[in-house]
Amino acid sequence: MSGTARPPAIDVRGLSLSYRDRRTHERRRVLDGVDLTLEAGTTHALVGQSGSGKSTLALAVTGLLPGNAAVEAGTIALQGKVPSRRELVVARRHVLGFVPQDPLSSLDPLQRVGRQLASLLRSRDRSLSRAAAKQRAVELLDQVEIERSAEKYDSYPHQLSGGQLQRVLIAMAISGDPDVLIADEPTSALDVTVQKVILDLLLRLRSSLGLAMLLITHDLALAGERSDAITVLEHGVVRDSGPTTDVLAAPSAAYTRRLLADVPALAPDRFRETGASSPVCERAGDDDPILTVRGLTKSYHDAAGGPNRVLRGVDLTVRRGSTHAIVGESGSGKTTIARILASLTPYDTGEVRFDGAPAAGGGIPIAGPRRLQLISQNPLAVLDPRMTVRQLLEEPLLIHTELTRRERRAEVTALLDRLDLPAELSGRRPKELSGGQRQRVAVGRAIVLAPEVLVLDEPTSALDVSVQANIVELLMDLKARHGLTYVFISHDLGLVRQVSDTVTVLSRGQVVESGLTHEVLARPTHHYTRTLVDSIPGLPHTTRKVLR
Amino acid sequence: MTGAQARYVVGRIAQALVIVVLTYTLVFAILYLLPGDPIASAVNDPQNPLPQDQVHVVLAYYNLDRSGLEQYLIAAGRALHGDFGYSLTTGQPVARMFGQALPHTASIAALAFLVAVVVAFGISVLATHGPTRGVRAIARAVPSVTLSVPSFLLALVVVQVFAFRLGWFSPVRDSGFKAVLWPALVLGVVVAPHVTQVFVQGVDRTQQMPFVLVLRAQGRSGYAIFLRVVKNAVLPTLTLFSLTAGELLAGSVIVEVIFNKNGIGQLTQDAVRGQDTPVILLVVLFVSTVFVTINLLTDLVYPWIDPRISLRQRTRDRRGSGRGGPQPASGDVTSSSGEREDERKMASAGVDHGA
Repeated sequence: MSGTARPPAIDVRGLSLSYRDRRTHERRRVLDGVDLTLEAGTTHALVGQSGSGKSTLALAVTGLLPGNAAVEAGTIALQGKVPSRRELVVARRHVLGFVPQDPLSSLDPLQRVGRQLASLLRSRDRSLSRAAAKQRAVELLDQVEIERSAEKYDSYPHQLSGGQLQRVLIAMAISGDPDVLIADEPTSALDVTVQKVILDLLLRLRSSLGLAMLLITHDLALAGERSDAITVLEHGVVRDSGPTTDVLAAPSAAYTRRLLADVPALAPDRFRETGASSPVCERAGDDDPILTVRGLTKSYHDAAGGPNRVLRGVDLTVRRGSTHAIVGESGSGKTTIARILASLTPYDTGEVRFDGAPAAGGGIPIAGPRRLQLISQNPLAVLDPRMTVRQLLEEPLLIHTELTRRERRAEVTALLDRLDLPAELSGRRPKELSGGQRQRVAVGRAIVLAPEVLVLDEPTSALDVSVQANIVELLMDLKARHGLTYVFISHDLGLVRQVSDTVTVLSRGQVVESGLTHEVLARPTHHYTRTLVDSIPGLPHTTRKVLR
Repeated sequence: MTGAQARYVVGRIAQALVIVVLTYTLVFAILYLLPGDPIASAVNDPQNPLPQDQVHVVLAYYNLDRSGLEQYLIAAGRALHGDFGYSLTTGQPVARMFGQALPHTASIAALAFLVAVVVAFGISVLATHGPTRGVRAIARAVPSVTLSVPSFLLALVVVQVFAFRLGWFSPVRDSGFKAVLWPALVLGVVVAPHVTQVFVQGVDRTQQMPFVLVLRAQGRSGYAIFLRVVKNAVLPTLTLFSLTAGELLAGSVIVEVIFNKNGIGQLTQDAVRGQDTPVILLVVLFVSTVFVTINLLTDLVYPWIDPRISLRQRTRDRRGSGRGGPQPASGDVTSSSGEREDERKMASAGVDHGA
C-alpha cells in the first residue's frame, strides 16, 4: 500500500469473455469489459453471486480457462506484463498461489497429503532430495499452523477435517514463494468458526509474506471485513469498485445497495421493521408452548458398533407463533433434532410434547403431517425429478385430503400465487427451476396442508444471499399470514438474529445456551456462543450505521 | 496387516468357498435330481458312441440306485479328491479331458487379457488426451463400433485374411505362439470396449474433479497430472477387468471353434450337446471358482489403491455413524474415516424427508 513503484500484481483491462455451449454451440458472454486492479501487497475482494463470472475471472488470470472459453477482448497483466502462454505456466509455479473453493475434493484422495506437498516442491526444484522435500513440507505445514505436522504429513485427505485440508492447500499455495494469492471462495465450504480461523490465517500469511491477494467471495460482509478494495460483479459486469470503505459507505450502484441490504449480518432488524415478527414473542417462550423437548438423547451405532452420542439430553421449548432457532456447527446434532421432530428418526430417551400431548412412540408420529412439516436444505434432493411443479404441490393433497380434482387444482393455483411463483412454471420439473424457485416449491409442499409448525433445516444455506433474502421474506410473510410456528435450524447467526425470537445454541449434542435471540447474541454467556458470534463477518461499526 | 484386516481376509475367503460349494450343490441338484435321469438315458441311448462294456462301468460308478443325497455325498467326496467322474460320451476321466482343454484356453485367455488391457488403455488415452479434437472423437467412437462387431465375424475375417490369404498362420495345425496369438487378438479386441468405455468415463469424471484444477493451477506437468488422473480413474475399470478375466477363462466357444482350439469353450459345447453331465459339472465348478477367486483378489487390491476403503469390516471410529463415504467397490468394504466430520453432514443433508 505504501507508494512504491511496484506495478499492480494483477491488472485486468476491459476483459470480455464468453463460453460456447457444448451442445447448442451458442456463445454466452460471462465477462463484459471487466477492469480490476490488484495492487501489490493488498487484498482485493471480488464479490458476486453465483453466475456472476467471478470464478471465471480467477481462471482467466491463472490461464486455466476450459477449452470452450474464448477471450474476446481485453488484457490481463501480471506484475506489469502480459504473459505469454509459456510464461503463464511458469507464473503458476512461482508467482500465483491458488487456494481453491472446496478443500474436501481439492487434494488427490489417493495420496498422503504430505507427499502431495513434497512432490509439488520437487516438481519445482528437481535437485531437491526426497528427504529435503519432506523436511520443507513439514515446515510449510507448521507455517500454516497444522498441529502435529509431522504426523499429519502421513494422513490421507479423508482423514483430515475441512479446515485442516484448507491449511494444506494454503501451504501448497505459498510453497512456491508466490507474489499473489488467488483465493476462490476459500471458506464457503467450511463451518463458520473454522471460516474465521482460516481467513485469519490467510490474511496473516498475506501480510507476513507481503503478498497481494485476490479474495473471491459471495459474502459482502466478509469482503468488507477483510479487504482493502472491492469489486462487485453482476452478470459479468462490474457494478461497483473502489476502496472497501468507500464502496460500503456509499455504494454507487443500486445492485451493491441491494446486496448490502440482503446480507443478514448487515441488516439485523430487517424483518422486525416489516412487522413480520410479532411483538408477543418478545417474552420468553415458556407459556403456551407448542413443542417441548426434555432430556432428548440419541445415539447412532458407528461402524465399530460403539455408540456415537449425537444428542446428550437436549431441552427445547418452542412457543406457539414464534420462531425458535437452533444454531450449531456441523456435527452438533441439529439435523438429528429436525428429523426427530418430523418423526423421521426415533429417539432413545427423553420426552417430546407437541401441543401438550406427549409423543406416543412406537412409530406414531410426534405430530402428523397436517400439523408439522420439515423443509430441508437441498430442495433438489427432496423433489421427485420426474414430477412437475403442479404434481409436486398437489401430491400432499392427494395423499392427505379428500379434495376433488378441481378443488386440488384451485388449491395449487392459489398456492403458486402465495409462493410468488409464476403460473407458467407449473409444468416444469425441478431441474428446470432456479435454486430459489425449487426451495419455493419445497416450501409450498410443506405448507399446502396448512400445518402449524414448520421445521426448517438450513432452508437457505444452498442459496445466494439475494435469493436467501427472498425466501426468508416469503417465510416471514407466510408466518405472519397463517400464524405459523418455525423451528429454524441454521449455522448462520446473522440470519438467526434476523428471523428468530428465541434461540438454542447446540454444541456436540448439548445445549450450551438458550433464551431470547437478541439477548443471547448481544451478551453470550457461554464461550462457544461467543466464538460463534465473533465468527459472523460484519462490518466496522461506522459503516454499519451508514446502512441503516 | 492388522488383526482386523486378517480376520476380514479370512472371512472373505470362507465366503468365497461357500459360494463355490453352493454352486456345485445347486448344479448337481439340477443335473442329477431332475426327472428323466440324464445319466441313464444318455448311457442307454442307442446313438451313444460309448461301447457297451464301458456302460456298465459308468453305471456302477454313478451309483444310480442310491438316493439323491447319497449320490451327492459320494460325488462331492470324490470331487474333493480330484475325481470328477467319467465322461458319458467318451468314457474318459473328466479331469483328464479338462486338463487337456485348460492349457489352450488359459494361454489364449492370458494373451487376450493382455491385448484387452493394451487396447483399452491405448484407446482411452487417445480418447481423452489425443492430440486433436478429431483424434479424440474417433477414439471415443471406437468402443461402440467394436462392441457391435460380433466375435465370430471378426474371427472369420481374421482367419480369411491372415490365414488363407496371407498364410501367416495355419487355422488347422498347431503352430505354437502364432496359433495362440490370433485368437487372443480377436478375443482381446472383442472384450476391450466395455472396459474402454468405463475407463474413458472414469478419466472424464476425474478430470472434472477440483484436485485436477489445483494441480494445473500449481503449474504441474501434463504427464504428472495424467498419472494422478489415471490412478483415480482406474478403480471401476478394475472391477470390469476382473469380470472380463473370468469370462476369458471360461472359454469362448465361437473363437475356439473357428480357430480349431480344443479349449474349455469347445469342451463345454460338446458336453452340453451330448448331455455329458459330469463334464458340465466340472466346468461349472471351475468357472465359479475362477470368478469367485478373481473377485476376491480385486476386492483385496482395492484398498491398496484407494486408502478410503479399508480391509476391515468395522472401523474403530467413535464419531462415525451411518456414514455413506466413498465406496466404489463392493458393499462389504467399509470406508475408514479418521477425523472427518463433514461426511456426516453430507450424509444427513442427502437424506430425503417425507413431505
